[in-house]
Amino acid sequence: MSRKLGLVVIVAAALGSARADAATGWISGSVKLWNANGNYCPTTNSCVGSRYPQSQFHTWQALANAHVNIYDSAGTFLGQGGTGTDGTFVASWTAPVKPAQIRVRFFASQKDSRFHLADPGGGWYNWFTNLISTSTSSGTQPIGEYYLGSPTAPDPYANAYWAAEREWREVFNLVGVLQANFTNVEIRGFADDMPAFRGNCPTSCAAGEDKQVQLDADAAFNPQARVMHELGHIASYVTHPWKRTRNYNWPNTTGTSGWSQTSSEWSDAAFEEAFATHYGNIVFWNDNAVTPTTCNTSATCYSTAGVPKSTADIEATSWAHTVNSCSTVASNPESRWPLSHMRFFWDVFDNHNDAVGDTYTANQGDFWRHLHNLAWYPEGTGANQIDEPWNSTRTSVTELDGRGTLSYVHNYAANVADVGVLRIDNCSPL
Amino acid sequence: MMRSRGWIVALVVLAAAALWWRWRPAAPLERSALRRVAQAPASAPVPPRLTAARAADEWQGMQIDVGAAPPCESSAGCGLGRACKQGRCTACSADSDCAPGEACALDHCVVQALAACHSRADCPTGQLCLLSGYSNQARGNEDMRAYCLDPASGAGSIPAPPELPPDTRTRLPDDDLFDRARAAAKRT
Repeated sequence: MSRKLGLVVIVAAALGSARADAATGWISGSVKLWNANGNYCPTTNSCVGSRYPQSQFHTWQALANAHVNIYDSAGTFLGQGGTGTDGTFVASWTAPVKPAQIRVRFFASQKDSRFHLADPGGGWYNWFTNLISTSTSSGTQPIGEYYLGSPTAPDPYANAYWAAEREWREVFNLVGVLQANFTNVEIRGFADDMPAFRGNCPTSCAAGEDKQVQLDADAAFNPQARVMHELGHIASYVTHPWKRTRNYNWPNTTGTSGWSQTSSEWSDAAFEEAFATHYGNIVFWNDNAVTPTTCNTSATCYSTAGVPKSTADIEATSWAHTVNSCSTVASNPESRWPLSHMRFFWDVFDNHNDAVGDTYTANQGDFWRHLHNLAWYPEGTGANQIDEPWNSTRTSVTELDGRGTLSYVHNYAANVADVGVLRIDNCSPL
Repeated sequence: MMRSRGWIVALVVLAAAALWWRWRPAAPLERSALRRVAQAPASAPVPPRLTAARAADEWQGMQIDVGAAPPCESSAGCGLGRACKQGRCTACSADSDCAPGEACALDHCVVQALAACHSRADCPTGQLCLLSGYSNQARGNEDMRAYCLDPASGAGSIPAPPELPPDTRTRLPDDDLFDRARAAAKRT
């Protein structure tokens, strides 16, 4: 009996000591990435109004607002936290027995679940530290600064994250309908063909109804035309869901191949591509910009002398007043260019009056409204309604110029202000 | 006698070794280097997220993956505004799940003074109850707000981005050590 009692005492003591050994610790640190994203404003330009000047390119930038997990050396999950806008973090861990070492993983995931980056198979992309010996002293243990990529090998996921996070924080997060609806977006990179995801899309693609973005093999470091643009499609969709048409290539009514800034497109397609691009444009440019651009490469969009390239210049002025300076080439009129729709959006947003009647500035009080406008479109397939391109049963596309800039102007006038002259200032896209 | 003295010496040595092991100085911190995850575990199959149930008409952001719940002893010790339930940091379902001075809003513990709503039922018709996002501090809710949002609202203008001093270093503090280590590895 006494031996049994002794055994019980020993077991109880062992359990008690295990309980007493439960440990909690705190760590602090920071994480940065080597920024190699193109599309910055080069020093050869004056860069008035640039929010992404060359001084940010090829520097260490914070991995801002990213998710952080803590594990022990065996991979047991011990704690979690997130970085701030400056890339710093404090996080706690708890374990039944104090681990001798821990490991930290930084995820390419916005900490509030707005979006995350995954590899082509869907694995949540992350970076991990070496094993870190836990401190014997109490208080928060500083673990130092960590760096993703290097000047000779910049990390594509970290760079795409940087661009996406800026777009979320600096634009989407300022619009109520996007605070409400832009959640849980999955971005997979980098491959042209992902059979289990969006399939084959060699220049990236997005599906608003599934909140999915697929980045192609060459999409890294090309923020405006790739990750920012594709997230723009998600933002447009969740602002007011609509039935997509996928009709491009005016005047061909069955065309589904791609587009460029100056290709001829039906307004249904050109408007959507322009709106998706506009979100990223205003991440990089303030309303007082004089030479804003939208890039389609991972380089800059300026000549070596610092002059915007013509197909990237979103502030170029072409209009039909006095002298019509819009290209009217029959096979490719400027009114059909996606760039004309982009220039319209820029003039709605900006505070740089460069054309006849260009006095309106959404960014002086109406910022959220000019992005929210889609939400005000009435439901339906009639003129200026959200599914205007479709017939009444939404079984066939009957108005390929529907849901274009003309509809935007109509609905904006009904809810905010008349910006019709800005459409005319930019070659009158439909 | 000699034999028992030997045992005593051995025991003393063992005890000293055990004490040293228990109280040995901490190893120096690991270098601040990161290895990029090339395949594992980023490319490993990801288990489906087990999100805490939230009514379909509530805001669907910041859902908690209850399948990924680290251990805890108290709610105050959990990150990301989680509640400690059955020894795991997970979603709260009542104010009493949270640390003192906190309220439960949309599965998260929020500082009571910053919780204007618990769910959309607390908001005017047509509005949603939202969370503003995690802080980068240990509890994760230090400045997180629960607030009613009218989706037809927003900022009148884009504020200028905060100017962070550019970090233009192309060489990091430990690069020389890494270079030497790499060179040594090559030699061997």
